[in-house]
Amino acid sequence: MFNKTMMEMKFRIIIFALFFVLMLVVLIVTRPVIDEVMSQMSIDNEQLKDLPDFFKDMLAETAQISKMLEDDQFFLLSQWYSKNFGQFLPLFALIMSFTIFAREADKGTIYFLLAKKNRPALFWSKTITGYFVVIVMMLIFSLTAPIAMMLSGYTVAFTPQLFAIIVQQLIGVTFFYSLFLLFSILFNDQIKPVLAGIIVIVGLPFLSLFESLKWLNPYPYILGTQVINRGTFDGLYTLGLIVITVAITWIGLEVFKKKEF
Amino acid sequence: METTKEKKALTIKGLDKVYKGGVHAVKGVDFSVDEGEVHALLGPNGAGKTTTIKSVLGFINYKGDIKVFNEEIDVVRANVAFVPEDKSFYEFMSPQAAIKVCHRIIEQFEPNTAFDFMRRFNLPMKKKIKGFSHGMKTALYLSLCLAQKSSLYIFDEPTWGLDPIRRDDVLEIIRNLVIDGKTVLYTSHIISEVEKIADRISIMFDGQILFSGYTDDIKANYRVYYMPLDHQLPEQINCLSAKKDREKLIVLTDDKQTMQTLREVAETEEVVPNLELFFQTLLRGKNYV
Amino acid sequence: MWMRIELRSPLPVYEQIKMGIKEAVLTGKFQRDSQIPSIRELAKDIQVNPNTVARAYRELEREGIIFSRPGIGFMININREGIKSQLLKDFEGELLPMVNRIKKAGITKEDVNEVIDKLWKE
Repeated sequence: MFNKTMMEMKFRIIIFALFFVLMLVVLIVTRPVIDEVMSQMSIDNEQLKDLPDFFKDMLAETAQISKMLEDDQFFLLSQWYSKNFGQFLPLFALIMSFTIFAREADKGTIYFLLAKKNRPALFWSKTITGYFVVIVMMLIFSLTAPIAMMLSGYTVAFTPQLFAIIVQQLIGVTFFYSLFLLFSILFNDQIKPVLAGIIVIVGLPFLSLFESLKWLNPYPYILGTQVINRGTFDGLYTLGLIVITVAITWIGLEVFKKKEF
Repeated sequence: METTKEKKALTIKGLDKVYKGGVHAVKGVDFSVDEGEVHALLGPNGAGKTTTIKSVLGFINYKGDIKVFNEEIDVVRANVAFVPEDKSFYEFMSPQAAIKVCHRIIEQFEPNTAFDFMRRFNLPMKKKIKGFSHGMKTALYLSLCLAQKSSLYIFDEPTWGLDPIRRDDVLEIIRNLVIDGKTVLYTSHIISEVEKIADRISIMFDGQILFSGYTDDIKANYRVYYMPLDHQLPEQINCLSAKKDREKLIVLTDDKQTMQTLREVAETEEVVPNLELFFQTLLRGKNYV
Repeated sequence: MWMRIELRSPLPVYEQIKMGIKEAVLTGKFQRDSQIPSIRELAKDIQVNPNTVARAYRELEREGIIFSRPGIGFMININREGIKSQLLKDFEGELLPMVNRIKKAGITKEDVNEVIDKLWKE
């Protein structure tokens, strides 16, 4: 089953690998440019005096950020993990998951598998293989970035914060993956899981608009906002997501066991 | 091939299935398949044949009791090989790749057997399945199926859409399975084929089994009577089916008493039914008991 | 093809196989102690279920027409004379429905004999 799943995912794995490598290269290449842009934006105190207050505050903030961006480590965490790479993770999870069950149902190849394997066995072999591929890809992409930056001569290190953000992103991806895998099980064609996934990806941030529902939005977690701003690992949220991921996976199993084909 | 006590490869009791949306596809069906037997499930499209097969294999939920080799299907899956009506396989694979994949996924799979069959069917081993015709897909699926060391083979419409040569190949394959002591259950709506290859047949129509018995017994026991349209059948008549067509009243029966009575009626023709006639008469007639 | 299965025949397939063997003895294709095709071979030649051939052979064995030699196969157990009476008995079964029809139609035995004479000459 593993080889067959790999064969089916081959195309997507390669595309994502190329895409992330490209993004990483662009990021590293533009680092000096950003540096320069940021330094040009810092104005000396003389000019500051004549400007209106709100403008002064805005410039002050920009000056602060630019100071921070001079730090390579901050650059890595905020521009790669928290921005370029992090933002694609839910989409990555969606694209790697939506075909796992839905394509077999859509194309009629599910009968071949259903005839020879019992439901739980089939569910687990597909699910575990899927998770394995995604987790390995995540780890490779996550660890490649700091290594690439180091090789390019920048000052980055494998700090606890770095590992914290990597772990949070891994947990975040598995959460999204479990949810989108459930969609793949629920629907018999390949379009609906994608639509449902996109609705989730686009809709979750809106939860932040409501104070009471803010905590339901996993984006700040997956982008490591807390790690960057306060330097701490969000253990509680991590635990919560793990519990939810396990619950969603269990639901997927039960749905698949009873599903009619 | 002769067994002193036939063991059952498959027993179906009280199978009933209503799909969401209200379609009552199978309405309380019983039949069994003996080990070493070729059992054909005959019937027009929509009769409930595929629903029955899907129930046996556990693809759908159903009411009733189904045992395969006296066990639940989940226990004996390794011993059952299946070719579905929709013979879709993974389009991105070639037959060669398909053999490799099956070898990994299925226990007791013999790659050489699959290879031999595919070559016999003249399949292009390295070409992607995507471009295959229906006949080629059927040949591929059958080859993969026959390479599995199973005792029960279930084929859903195995010869549909095949050219005559490939069709003969499939029937030859079924015959060879019999020689090896395997059990075959297959569905078909091509009656002439079934007559020569099936030991027993079950005729299904509108969710019900109208007849289940030995193919040979049909000619031995049943007779069809063509009678004048205006003939009044006596009330005590016992027949499997009776219908009126444009010119005649047609009665199908195996009851000796009834046969005697009907023979006496003037202008009555008695015919020994082959499977085609039996099938048509049974299906189109209403049951007057 | 020395044996052919007719789906239109009023005889079930296994009966036709039995008839075929008996007729083959009568025509001299097989003699006493000749070996007949194995179940597998015959099933393949006439394209029927091997179980059906097996049933025919079982009954032929029971009727004393053939016997099986372990390791070798099935052989004919009877000569032409013996077969004749057997076959006539079988033909009775085939002819009965036709005879009934003819009788019902009011045709006499003499009329039938005329037709038979004519057909025999062909």
